[in-house]
Amino acid sequence: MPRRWVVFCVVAVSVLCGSGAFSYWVYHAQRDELVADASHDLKDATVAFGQALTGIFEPALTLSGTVADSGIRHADAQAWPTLFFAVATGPVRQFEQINGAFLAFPDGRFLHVQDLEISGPKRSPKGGATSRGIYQRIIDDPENDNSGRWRVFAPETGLSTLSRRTTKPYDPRTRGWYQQVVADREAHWTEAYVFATSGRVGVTYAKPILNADGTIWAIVGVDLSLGSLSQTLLTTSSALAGAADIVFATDFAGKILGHPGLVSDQSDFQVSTQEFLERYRDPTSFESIAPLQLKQGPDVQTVSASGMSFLTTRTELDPERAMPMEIYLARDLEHLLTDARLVVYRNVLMAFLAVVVFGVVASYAVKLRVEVSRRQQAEAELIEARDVAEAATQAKSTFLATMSHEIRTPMNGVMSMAELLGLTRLDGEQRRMAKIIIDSATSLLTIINDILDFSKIEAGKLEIEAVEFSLMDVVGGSAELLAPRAEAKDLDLIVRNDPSLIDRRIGDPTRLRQILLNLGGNAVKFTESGGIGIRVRRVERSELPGTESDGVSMPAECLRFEVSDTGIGLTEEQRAKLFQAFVQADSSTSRKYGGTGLGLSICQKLTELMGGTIGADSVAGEGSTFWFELPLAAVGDAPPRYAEDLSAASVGLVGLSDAVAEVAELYLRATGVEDVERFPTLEDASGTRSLWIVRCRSGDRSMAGLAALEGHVVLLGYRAQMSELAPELKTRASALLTVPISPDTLWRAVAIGLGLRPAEEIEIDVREDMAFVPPDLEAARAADALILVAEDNETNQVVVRQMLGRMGFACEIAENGQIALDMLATPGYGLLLTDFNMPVMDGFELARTLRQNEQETGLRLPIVALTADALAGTEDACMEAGMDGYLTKPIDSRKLGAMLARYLPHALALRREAADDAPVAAGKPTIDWDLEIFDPDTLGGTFGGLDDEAKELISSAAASWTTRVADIGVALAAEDMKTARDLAHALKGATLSVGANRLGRIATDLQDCIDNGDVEMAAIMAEILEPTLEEFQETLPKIMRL
Amino acid sequence: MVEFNQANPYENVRVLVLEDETHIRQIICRLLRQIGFRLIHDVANGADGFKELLRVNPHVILCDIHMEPIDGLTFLRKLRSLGKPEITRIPVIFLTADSERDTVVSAKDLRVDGYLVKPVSPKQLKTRLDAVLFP
Repeated sequence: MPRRWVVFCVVAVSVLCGSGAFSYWVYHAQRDELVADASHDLKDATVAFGQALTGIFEPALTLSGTVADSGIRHADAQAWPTLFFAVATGPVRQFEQINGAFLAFPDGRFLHVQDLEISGPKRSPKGGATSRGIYQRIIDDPENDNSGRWRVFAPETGLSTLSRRTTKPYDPRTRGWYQQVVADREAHWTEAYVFATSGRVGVTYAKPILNADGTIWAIVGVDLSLGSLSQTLLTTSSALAGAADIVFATDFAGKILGHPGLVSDQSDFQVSTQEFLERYRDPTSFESIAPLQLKQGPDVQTVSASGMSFLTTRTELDPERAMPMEIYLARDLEHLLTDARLVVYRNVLMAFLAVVVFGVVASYAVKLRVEVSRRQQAEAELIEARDVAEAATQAKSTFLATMSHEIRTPMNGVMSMAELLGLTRLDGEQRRMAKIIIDSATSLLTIINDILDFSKIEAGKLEIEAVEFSLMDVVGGSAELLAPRAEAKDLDLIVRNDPSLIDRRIGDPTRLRQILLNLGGNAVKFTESGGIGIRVRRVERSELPGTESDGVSMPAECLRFEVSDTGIGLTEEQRAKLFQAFVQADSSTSRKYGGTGLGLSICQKLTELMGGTIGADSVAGEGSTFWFELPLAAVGDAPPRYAEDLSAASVGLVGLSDAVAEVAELYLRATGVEDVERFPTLEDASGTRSLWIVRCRSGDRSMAGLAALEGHVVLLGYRAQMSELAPELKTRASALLTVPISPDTLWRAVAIGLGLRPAEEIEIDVREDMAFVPPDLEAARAADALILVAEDNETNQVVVRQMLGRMGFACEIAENGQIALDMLATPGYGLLLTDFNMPVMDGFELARTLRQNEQETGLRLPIVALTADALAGTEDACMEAGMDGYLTKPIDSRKLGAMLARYLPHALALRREAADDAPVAAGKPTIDWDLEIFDPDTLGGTFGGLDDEAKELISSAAASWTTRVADIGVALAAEDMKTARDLAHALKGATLSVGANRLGRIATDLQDCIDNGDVEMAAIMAEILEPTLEEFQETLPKIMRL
Repeated sequence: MVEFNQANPYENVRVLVLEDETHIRQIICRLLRQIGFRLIHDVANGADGFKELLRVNPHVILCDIHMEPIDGLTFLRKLRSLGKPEITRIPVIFLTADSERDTVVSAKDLRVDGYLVKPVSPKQLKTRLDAVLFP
């Protein structure tokens, strides 16, 4: 990849340049810092030097000051030499740098004390024997002896002895220092010069001692050897500065005064001093350049000389305390920076390395960043694509949901209409057509509900509940819903719940039922003969996760639900595509069997939502088993059992198919019933058993053998079959059991057989929504099906008669018990309905008397009481009087129907269906309008009936209301409230007095609104006056016909 | 409140029907007649329903929910907030295809007296009407 290399090289070069620049910057920063530090050090050092050097000069100043202040001027001429020497000799001896001290007078007299090194007469070049001593020179008569005499001071004795030493004549007045002091009468420092006597290089400090008149009395002077200056510089510099440092002192003219070299380089100090000083006068020497350069510019500068660089600074001594002098201190920059450079080089190297490392890391980071952002972009694109897709799915689902809703609304209309149509009187063909409409609409609604469900699942809007439910109820309920379809195709529907399963579960019963119904529905749909089996059992807990309820993890038991059929089955290939949406096993089957193909897909999704799995096993042509496994947490730990012990029961199963009998036996054994026997037909069955379970089929009108069975009889059949059973059969049965059998209903039946429960009141459907016409009295009497009603209240008589009539029973009325008793003397009555409280003979007495009479005849007429007060003791009282049952008023037609079906079953056959639109009892004019529109009693009361005069009044009044109502509208529009109120008030009076109560009420409300200032409501009231008036006008012709 | 007639308890009961779909309205009226009602007033929306309510003073109201311009919930809210006790006490039964939770909750909050989901069987309708009319 050349491009990659180019990029790498560019990056490397820029990293190198960058690190170089950075390193350079670091070096410079470091160098500047070092130089600054060094400068600071130098400044400090020069101060120290200054102090050290000042120390040299101080004794000189002190000495001259002492002499001047000693009062020597006032001593007499003989005494002051002694005095001078006494003061000066000590310091000269003591301080090495003080070479000598003198006192010079304007007349040429001269006193001098000197620290001298006197060599022998023949001085060897290497010093040889030299003697050192303090010599005093006295020139007290310069006119005659200008050489003076010398004395040697013996320190041991403190006495001076005359020396033989002779020297050249000396006139202090010729000396430079003398002339300088005389010129301005100020103290002066001389330039460096070679002392005449000692030959050393030095300087002289000369200070005048003035007379009172200001003239010079004498000049006191101190000679300072510059050698000691250099010595001090050497000593101090070795303490303060490094070996490579240069330090020297000059006067203000730049002439060298002191230099360590003077001491260290020269063994023969005196001889070579001049030469030495010459050396530093070389204009190329550092010592010459530095003073010149430092005259200008900053205190600290870099001075270059003979190829070397020095960091240089200078300072001046305090002129009050020392001679005028500059001190230069220089530090070799190279040396200074050597260590620093090492540090710098190391730093630079490290910086370089750091930069390189950083560069490498950074380049990788950048590369990574690019990669990441590329991936993020890709991811974002994916997310966007997914969102778009999801939005599309959402939109699709929303659309489907909306559509489904839109379709459902008119479908509801179709279904309701079809249902109403089915209730009307139709011939066979029409009835068939109505049924097809209902069936088609139902299946269409099912499909729509499927689509709705599917789109809800797709849109993620379907929520799974976790509630407690009964497994048996859900499975049994689902099976019961499937039963009619299975029955229609003459398929056996067997449900087999494992009775050892715990019944209470946590889960979503609705969705479980939905799956069962779907799979069961398919099974029925695709099975032509044989049977459908629904089975629930426990399976080994597989990898299914536990369900969670309210955050508490429950141990979930895995249940397997199987729906098997003996239908067309599936091929392996079909099985693979089974759970895909919109796919049916075979497109040809969809033509034959219909359906959306969504059902299984919904089942699968629901199962998954509930944390389970779904699947199918099948052999093509032999049948399929669809199964699903769900984790359903159990509540409690006991499988259901009947509360009481049923083990004593003996059960006979009559006419049950093997499969059904097997399930029944399984359930019976689960509750401890062991004595179970099967009988193929009713003819085979006989004997005494606590319970007979007899399979019955639709159309069974009479089952002759039933009577021969001893013990309680329970009829078993499909629910639809049950409703069509002949009432005679039902009256024999203690309970009805529907197929498929559920354990709890079976157990309840056994309990009835054992007498632990009362027999069930079997509701005999009298089709209350279907109107019947009663048989004529004679027909009823002939069939012993006539009902006698003993009731004194006229209204109740009418009610009971009407109710019985509508239900298809013929009856006669007796006003009291005595009359009833008389009537019952004639045969033909099948049942007595009697009120409790009646004049002459009440219900109880009637019943007792009747039962007494019956003891002779051996017959027994069923007696049912009618009572308004269903008190606690009523039932006992009824039974005690020999009654069979009682009904409370107002009478519930259903209960009455059930009672009649139980005690008067043979009358059911006599019922005749009523013809539609049976003419209502004609003759009397009817009021078929709302009495609020017009109440005829209002005027009728006044006029004693609605005669022609009254009708005339009504119509003329109504004619005037039209304008009045219009006027109210106009007045309100004009906001003329007073007029509107008056008009409303007038209308109210007129309408109410005639009986047009609705108009009257609205007019009253209008008036109230106006009174309350509620203009808005008043407008509404005025608005609704109009249609109300119209309504009245429309009713008017009917009123006229009254 | 209603004059009870033993033969036909619905004879003198005024019922107001609010339903925007014409054919569904006809079906409901037909169902009501089937049950025994004679005094049936029907309108197509909540706005007309309000006027008709004031006009005929019904004993019970059957009301669709999704209607324009005033829907059933708004209608009921208006009815309940009206200051007249004889009107606010009128029982209202919703008759709708909408079984969404939110709608049911809103209806419940408005103290609706019944909530029937279409398609409604004659029996269901009768049971609910009986419950509110003859408690």
